[in-house]
Amino acid sequence: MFKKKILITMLVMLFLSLTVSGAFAQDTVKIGTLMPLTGGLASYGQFTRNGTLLAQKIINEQGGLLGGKELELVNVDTQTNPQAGVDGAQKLVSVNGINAIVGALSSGVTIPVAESVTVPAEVVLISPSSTSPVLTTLDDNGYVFRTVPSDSLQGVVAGNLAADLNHDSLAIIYVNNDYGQGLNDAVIEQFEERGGEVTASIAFEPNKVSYRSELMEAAEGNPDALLLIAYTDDGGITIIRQALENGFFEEFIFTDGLKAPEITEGVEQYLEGMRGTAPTSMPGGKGPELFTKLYEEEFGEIPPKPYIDTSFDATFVLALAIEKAGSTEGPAIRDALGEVLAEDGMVVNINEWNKAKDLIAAGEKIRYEGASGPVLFNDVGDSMGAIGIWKIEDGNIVNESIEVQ
Amino acid sequence: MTFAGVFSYLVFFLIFAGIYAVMTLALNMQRGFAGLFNIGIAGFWAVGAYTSAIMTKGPSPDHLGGFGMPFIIGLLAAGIISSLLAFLVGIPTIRLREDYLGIATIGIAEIIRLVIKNEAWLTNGVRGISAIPKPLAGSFGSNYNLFFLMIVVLVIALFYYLSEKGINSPWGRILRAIREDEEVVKAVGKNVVRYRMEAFVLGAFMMGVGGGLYAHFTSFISPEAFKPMQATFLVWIMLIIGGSANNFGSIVGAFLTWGIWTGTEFLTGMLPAAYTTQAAAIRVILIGVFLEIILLNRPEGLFGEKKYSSVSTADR
Amino acid sequence: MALQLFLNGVILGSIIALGAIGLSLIYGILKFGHFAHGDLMTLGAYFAFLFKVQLGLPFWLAFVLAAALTAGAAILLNLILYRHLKKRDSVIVMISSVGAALIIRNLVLLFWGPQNKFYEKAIQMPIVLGDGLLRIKENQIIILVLALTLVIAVHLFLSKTKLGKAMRAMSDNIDLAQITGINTERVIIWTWAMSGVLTAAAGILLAFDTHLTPVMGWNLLLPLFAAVILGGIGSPYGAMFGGLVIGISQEMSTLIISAAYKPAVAFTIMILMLIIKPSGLMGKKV
Repeated sequence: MFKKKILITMLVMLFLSLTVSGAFAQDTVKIGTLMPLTGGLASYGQFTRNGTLLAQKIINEQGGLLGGKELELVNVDTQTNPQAGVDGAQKLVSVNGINAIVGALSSGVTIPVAESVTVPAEVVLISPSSTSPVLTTLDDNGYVFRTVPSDSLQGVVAGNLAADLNHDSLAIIYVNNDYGQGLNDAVIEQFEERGGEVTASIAFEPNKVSYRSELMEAAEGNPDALLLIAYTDDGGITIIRQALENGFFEEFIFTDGLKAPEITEGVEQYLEGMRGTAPTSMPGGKGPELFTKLYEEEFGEIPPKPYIDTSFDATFVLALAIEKAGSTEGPAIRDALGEVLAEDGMVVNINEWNKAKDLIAAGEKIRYEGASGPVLFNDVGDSMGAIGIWKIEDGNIVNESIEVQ
Repeated sequence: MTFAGVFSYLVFFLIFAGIYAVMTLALNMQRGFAGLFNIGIAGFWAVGAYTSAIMTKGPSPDHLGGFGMPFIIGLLAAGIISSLLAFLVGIPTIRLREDYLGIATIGIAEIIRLVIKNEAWLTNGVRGISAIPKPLAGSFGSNYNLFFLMIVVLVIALFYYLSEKGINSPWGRILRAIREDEEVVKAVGKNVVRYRMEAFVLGAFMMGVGGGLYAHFTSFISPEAFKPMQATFLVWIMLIIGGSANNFGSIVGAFLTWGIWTGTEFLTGMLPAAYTTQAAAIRVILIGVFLEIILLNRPEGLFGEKKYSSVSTADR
Repeated sequence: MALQLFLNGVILGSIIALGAIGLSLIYGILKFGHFAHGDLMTLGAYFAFLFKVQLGLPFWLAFVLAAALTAGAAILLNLILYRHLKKRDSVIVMISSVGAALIIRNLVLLFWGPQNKFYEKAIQMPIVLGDGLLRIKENQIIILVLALTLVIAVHLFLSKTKLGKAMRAMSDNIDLAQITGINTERVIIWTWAMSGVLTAAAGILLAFDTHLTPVMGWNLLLPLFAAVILGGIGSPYGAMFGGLVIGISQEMSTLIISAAYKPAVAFTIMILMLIIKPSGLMGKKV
């Protein structure tokens, strides 16, 4: 009977789904990762996940943690969607029994995950990329951290960059989400403080086929340049092309979401010499080069996309804290995160997990020269960071200079 | 994996599935009993969620609010505003063929999404509303979710009871008669449009309440949460699987489908990173194919249409 | 600026018109709103991408092949789904078309990925007329010419050929058409084929002007329906006119309202039409 067949199939699938995901429990230290493998940020998620996997490999090759236990990573696809993210996080916490979480990428997922799952369950969460200023003020009992600086910092640098390039007026087009809005607000404030005029600030909906009306609105009053806050996949590239094709703008300033080689394809000659900003490693330390080398040995060429290094660091730092805490209890990990890192601590590089364990055992503080530069948290769990300025040269993206907080 | 862990996930799972069951019951009121084609569930869901959040939150500089109303009032307001919206959409479309309502509901859902995203004074725009109060937060300790589950079950039971009651009343009989043969009902002098509108508005009320429950449970809502796939289409699949015009089937359909939907997620995680984008697409394709198979082979769903007291007995 | 917006509107409008003709005929003949129409459009555009970019064929050939394949896909949908569901109530058919829309969109995602794609990597600089008053790209002129050619072809087909006349007759009154001995099954298949070709053309031209993205067609679904309702269901000429009106008013609306609310324009026009004259400008009674 058809009805019976469907019912049975469905029940079997239901049973499988509830058991398979968490059935093979071993005595390991588990970190959950919330990476979007589908949805709006899918093209970032697969690489940031590689970042976490690399950290796992280094730690396990050097004897694991808590006296020889393996580090296990369990990933859940957030689909770049808060509902799926919250559900996935809950599954990680209660079924998989993870001890801490790395993720999620977009603030729109990280905030609800923190508020409805991890903070009530006393689980530490480190986001490698959620830059929303809201995270700073979140009522989180200290359980939420991030290894990127807040957007307000990048906005200041981008605003300064526009002023330093001698632009008197600026139009801003930003992706209509909290990343775009946060940056937009910060840029306006800084650029106006420097005496510039923002002639237009326009939000755009992702994935439309035409942005000509937005561009037309932005071009009114002939501003000197367009500051574009977008991702490559959701319309950023289209906006650049349509701006050029219709002669709306010739000068551009970009932000981190557009720091990808795809943006220049076919339009190299027009974008030559344009600049942009992106969170980057703190100067000094050889973390970034080392990270690039290790990453490429493992996964092949590293794409010039942000947050791969910060994902690595989030995983590594969590492992440090678990080792320091000597336990996998949330409150202990939270407190250890505040204690283990110090600016004047003993230097640990990203491939020196054994050394880190020895230092922790000896009660020393650690200066972690992470993949994204030294990682230090301030008292609200935000990372102190640096913003780099990049430039398009011969169709390639090159880093130009670094602004420190 | 500990027993306590599984139990607490089960509670969490049941809450989510339960909220979907509220939506499915609501859609059954519209589609199952009145034959209405609403493919803008996401819109009513969002309106309910935002209404309840704004009504119950304390003052916030980011968006409209500061009413600090109790949870119950929030839910009621969610239902009322949502049904008001349904009423407005219904005025031009409900007297026409089903298709018009379908198109109009897609449109209204899209416009609501745009309003939520762009009118920051009202909804805090894309940043969403956070820290939505949970009823009796702080009590029950680690068993809080169990308490929330009870609320959800209570709402489901209430709506189930009212739907059954309603559909067996003279009102429900006329509604079903309209769905079977509109002309006959018109001929006996009943105002067909009015009955349809009532079913539409009632369904929207339930959707609004469901949206309110969702907002209070997750404590955070943003425009991203109300995408057509998760918010509209999934509810339709639940209804079709469970069986149209069958309240019990609707609830079972919601639980089964949500189980499979969240359950198949682990498949994505098991694939190598390079294939995961494809995995998500395959998942939706499979769900879509599954739906088509059901539509082709068993359009009445698992449980089929329940035999309610017939129209003829109504005229006794 | 108003002139420029008007021109953009005409271009968008002729694309909507092409898609709406097929939607309107299907609506008229099969009596249901085909919610997978927008995604068929996407499919057509991606087929053309396959032939032009991935296989390196010339544009005209890619266009023809993509149109043929999309027509095939439309016929297939009818064959495996809609034909069998005809006896059921129209909500079942419509929800199955929503399901088909999801399947198509995700097939596109599966094969071509979520990133935006372009037929040409290089960009085209516009021809500037009247001292910057009006800018038009060569591609856009091609789009207008192609759209006009297709519309004339549709007109000739509907008014001069036996098949075309049968389509109009069925869309007008299916019972009457059956009495006069029209082979309805055959006409239905040809209607799907023609809709497939026209929708593919709409998708290709849209992508030719802008870019390809998996949601491009879904986002145009509401304007398509608005055009059909404005013109009157079942009226191909109404759909052409409706498409132009919707396209132009959407683009011109940015003079008054924020561009963010552009999608609301089609909706508003549609609702107004439903209140004032639900049968549309050129349609029969509903």
